[in-house]
Amino acid sequence: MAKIIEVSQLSFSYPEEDGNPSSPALHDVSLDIEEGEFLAILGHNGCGKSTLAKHFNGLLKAESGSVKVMNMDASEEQNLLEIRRNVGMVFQNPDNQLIATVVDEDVAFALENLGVPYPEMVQRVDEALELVGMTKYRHHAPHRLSGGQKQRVAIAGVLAMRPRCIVLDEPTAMLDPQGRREVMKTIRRLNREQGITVVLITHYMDEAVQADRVVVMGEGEIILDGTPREVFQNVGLLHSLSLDVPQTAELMFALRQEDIKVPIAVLSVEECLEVLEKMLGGAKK
Amino acid sequence: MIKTEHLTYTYGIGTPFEITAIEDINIHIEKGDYVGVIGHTGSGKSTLISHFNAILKPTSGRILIDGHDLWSEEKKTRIQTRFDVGLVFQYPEHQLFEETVYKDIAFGPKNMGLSGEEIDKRVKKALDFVGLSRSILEKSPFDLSGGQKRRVAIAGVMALEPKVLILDEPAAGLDPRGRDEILSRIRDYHRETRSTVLLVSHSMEDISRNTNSILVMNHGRCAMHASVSEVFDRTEELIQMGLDVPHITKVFIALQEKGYPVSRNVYTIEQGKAELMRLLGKDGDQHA
Repeated sequence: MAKIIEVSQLSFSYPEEDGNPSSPALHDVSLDIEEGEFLAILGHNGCGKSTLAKHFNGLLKAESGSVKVMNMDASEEQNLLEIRRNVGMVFQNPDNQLIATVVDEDVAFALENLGVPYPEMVQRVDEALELVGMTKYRHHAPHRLSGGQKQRVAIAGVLAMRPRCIVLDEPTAMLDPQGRREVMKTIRRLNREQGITVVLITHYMDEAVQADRVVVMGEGEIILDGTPREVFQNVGLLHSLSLDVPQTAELMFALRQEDIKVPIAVLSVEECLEVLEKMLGGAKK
Repeated sequence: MIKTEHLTYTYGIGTPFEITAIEDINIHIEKGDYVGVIGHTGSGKSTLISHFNAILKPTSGRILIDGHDLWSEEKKTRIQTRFDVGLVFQYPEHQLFEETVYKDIAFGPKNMGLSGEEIDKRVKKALDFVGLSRSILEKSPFDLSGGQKRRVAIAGVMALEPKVLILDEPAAGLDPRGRDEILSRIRDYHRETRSTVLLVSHSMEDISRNTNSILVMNHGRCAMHASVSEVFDRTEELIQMGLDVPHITKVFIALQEKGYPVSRNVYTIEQGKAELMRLLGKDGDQHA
């Protein structure tokens, strides 16, 4: 598969404040993201995950090392427009991302700025709203929507650009459980059905297990990189990085400490039930 | 401690945007309880808690705090309520404004008209509760990290020593470490002060690990108000309401439904492990 984002030996520090040099936010990070992949990035606050993500569409410029997006150097000014059309970002707070007074106008905002002809704009907005399941709310006022709906409108605004990759920085942090389910379902569908590359930064482990690949960051470096099943084997290491693991894996970890032989990386309720039933054998009454 | 009778609130009466946010709420929160408040976005949680310290006046119905009817008694009652019921809003760090951490935490107690000595005592006590060191007192709150700012803002409300402390999503946006830190501080505060605490959260895990009882709001009405175990036993209804149940709880409810003699009321890994060890005949006694 083709690589959509190639990060090579990237280091970055924020400008110093009051003469105190800041410690590097990213240190020698190398990471390739394949076209069509669903990648989750985990790490505690301040570990550098958002700083890394902001390099994916040139919001930040590499200090040393390089970031290439679809073979274009993200530190070259003349590539930025093309990169930003192809890598869209969605942030935590939907209220800071919606600007228009009607949903479809909001989705059309970026297209208007790009001077897309009206008939095409209408078509793209229709398509984007359809993809996030918000077509019937197209004439509603964004501020009257639920958190999950607002965030889906924000995603539609990015989709209208027809990007190849979407980077979402804690998109569900402010949502209720239903809103979280809606946003995750939308993200999964875009990835599977539309082949859009997804980079999801999250603190929720049940979201990370839905990805193809999980990268764990700590202190500006990549610490683990693998499938959810591989990454969540490392319960002790994740704990030491102050991260959670899925509750089901946590339970397995606790049982193994009592010398009970169960697999660790048990990532769903169904899988956990299966393992426990096997373990309990005939313990039914 | 908090009692409501037919409490109803309608926004924008007489405008095209008229909407009833909460309707006919009848609840009674006991003194010293630690209550989780859950509900989908727009279910009326914030409208409800804004009544508890007289920020909103009911459209109809009554609200009583510690026996005082907030809106039939004189204004003095409502002013006192603002000190008796401390409300920590979402993202409270956006409300820091003073030059130093000390002044920010002292702002509330100063408005209560307390003596300098008493204010000083309360500032330091509140700082201890949220686990920050005295060395930050003279710093500008704007020079602190996000997690520290959040704790300073919470300390500012704790310094009122309110009888009721209400926190709206105090862990939102924090990483797992920051979340656990804040929640364990609030737990200590509840235990040591024996005050009534209300925690509004979208995290079923945080609610189940911390609170004693749960108030469930759904489309402006109080759908349930019961113990943690009674509420999470109604999984299907909660999911219908856009809520959820911790994964570990789902596992144990399913095990029991398959005929295993386990408790349905498992919310933490420790409880889950203990249940399984008991079933395997490997509980503490045999190891000892």
